Amino acid sequence: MTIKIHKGVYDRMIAHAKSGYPNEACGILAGKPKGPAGVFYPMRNADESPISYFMDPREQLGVFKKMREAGLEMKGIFHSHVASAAYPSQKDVRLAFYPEASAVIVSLSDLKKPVVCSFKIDRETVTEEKIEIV
Amino acid sequence: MSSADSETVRILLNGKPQAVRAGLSVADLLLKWKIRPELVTVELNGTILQKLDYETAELRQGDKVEFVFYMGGGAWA
Repeated sequence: MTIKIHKGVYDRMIAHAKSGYPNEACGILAGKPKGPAGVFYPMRNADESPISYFMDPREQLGVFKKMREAGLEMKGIFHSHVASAAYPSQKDVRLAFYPEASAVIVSLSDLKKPVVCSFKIDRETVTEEKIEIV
Repeated sequence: MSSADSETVRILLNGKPQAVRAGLSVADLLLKWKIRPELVTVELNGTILQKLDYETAELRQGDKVEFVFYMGGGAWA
C-alpha cells in the first residue's frame, strides 16, 4: 500500500504541525479519485492539547462539503505527535472511523527532523504504508 | 403518484439522493445505515442537531442531511 502526497501538501502538513507545536495539530488530505493527495485542509485542534486532538465537527462538515463540491475524496487524516513516535496510539486506533483514509502522523520528537509515517487503520488492525512524494 | 410514492420522501444524504420512508426520524436513519449515533455529528438543513433531537427530527421532502464521524486521537493512550 502507498499513499501519494503532493510535495506542497507534504510541506504544508509539516509546517502546520510545527505551527501548532507544542500542541498536536491536525488536518485533512484530499485529492481526485485515483490521484495523489493534492489538497491540504489544515484544521483546528479543538482540544488544544499536546497529547490529543479533536477536530471541530462544524469545521469538519464544512471541509467535507468543500471536498464534495470540488470532486475530491478524503485521502488522509493527518495529526501530529509532539513527543512520541509517528505511530498510531490506542486512542488513534479506537477513533479511526474512516478506514479508507490513511492515518498520516508527523512526529515532532525532534523538531529539526520531523518523521512522517502513514497507516491504514481498519478496526484494530494497523498497517503501515509507503509514502510517495510526487 | 402511487401510494408507495406518497409514503416516500427524497432527501440528500451527504450530497447523495436517497428515498426514505416519510416520517423517518434521524435516529431511524442512522439505525438503517448502522451508524452509532454517539460517533457522529448530524446536520439537518444546515443546523447541527443535538443528539436528544435525533428521535424527534422527522425527515421531509428535500431535506439535506449531513453526517460526519468524529475525528480525533493523539499520543495519549
